[in-house]
Amino acid sequence: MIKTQEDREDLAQEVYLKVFDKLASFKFNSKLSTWVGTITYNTCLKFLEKKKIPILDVTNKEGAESWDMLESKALGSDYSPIESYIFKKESGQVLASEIEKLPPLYKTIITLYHNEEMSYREIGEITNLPEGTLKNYLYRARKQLRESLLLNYNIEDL
Amino acid sequence: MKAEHLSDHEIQRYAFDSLECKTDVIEHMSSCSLCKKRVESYLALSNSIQDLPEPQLAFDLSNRVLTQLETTAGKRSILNYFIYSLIALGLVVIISCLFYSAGVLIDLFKSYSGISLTLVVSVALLISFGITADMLRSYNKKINMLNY
Ligand SMILES: [Zn+2]
Repeated sequence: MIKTQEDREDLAQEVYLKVFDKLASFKFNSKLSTWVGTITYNTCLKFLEKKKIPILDVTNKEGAESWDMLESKALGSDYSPIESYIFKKESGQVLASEIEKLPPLYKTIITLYHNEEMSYREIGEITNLPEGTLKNYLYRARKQLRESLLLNYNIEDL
Repeated sequence: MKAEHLSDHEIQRYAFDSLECKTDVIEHMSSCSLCKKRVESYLALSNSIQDLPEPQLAFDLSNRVLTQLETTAGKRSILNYFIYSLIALGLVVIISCLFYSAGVLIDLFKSYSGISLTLVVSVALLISFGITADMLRSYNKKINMLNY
C-alpha cells in the first residue's frame, strides 16, 4: 500500500506501537490478525490522506473498446498467451511489479484475497467495506491487473 | 444459451464466486470455449498471485521497536515495583488480621451446630469452584482467539 521503504519502516513501527498500546482494549470478537490488520490499514489510510495520495484511481483511462480489442486479440489465437506468459517462471517479477503499480486499495485487497487467502468477511473487517463493494473492487482490480499484463505481453511480443 | 459473450464481471464471478452465478451464465459457459478460456485465464492469474512470496518487511522491525521500548521500560519497571509492594502489603495486612482474630473466629464456628457449619462451608466451596471454572473457561477462550 505504501511505496517508499522509509515510509514503510516508519509506519510499521507506528503500527507496532499502536497495537502494543491498544492490546488491552482488544475485544476478542475477531481474530487477532484481523484486528492488527484493521489498525494497520487505518494507519496507512491516514498516512495516504495526509500525503494526498488517492487510494483509488477514479479516472478510467483505458476505454472499453481498447480493452475488448486487446482481449479478443489475446484469446483469438490458438494458444492462450496470458497463461503461457504468466506461467513462465521469470514472469513472477513482472506480475509483482504490475501489482505494485495498482492503486493502493486495489493492491491491498488483491494481496489479501489472493496472496494471504483471506475471506471476504476478514477483508471487509480490515478495510471496513461491505461485501458487495469489496467484491466489486476486487473485480475491477483483477481486470486492471490482467489488462496491464496483457498490454505488457503484447509490447514484449510485438 | 446467452447469445452474446459474458461480460468481464460475469466471467470473474464464474471464476471466483461460482455459487452466485445465474443459470444462463452457467449454460453459456458449458458451450462457449472462448469464455471458458477467459475464466481459465483469470484462474491462472489468481494462481500466479498465490505463488508470489508473501510480502515481507525488508528491514528489522523488532530491533527498531525494541530500542523505542527501552526508553519507556525504565518507567514501567518502577511502576511494577510499586504494584508488587502494594500486593505484599495487602497480604501482610490480611494475614495479621487473621492471626489476631483467630480466637474470635474459632468461637464463632463453635457456636454453630454441625449441620449449619457444613452448609456454610459447602456453599462457599461451591461458589469458589464456580468462579474458578468460569475464569478458566474465559482464559481458554481468549488463548484460542489469540491463536491466529
Ligand atoms: Zn462466450
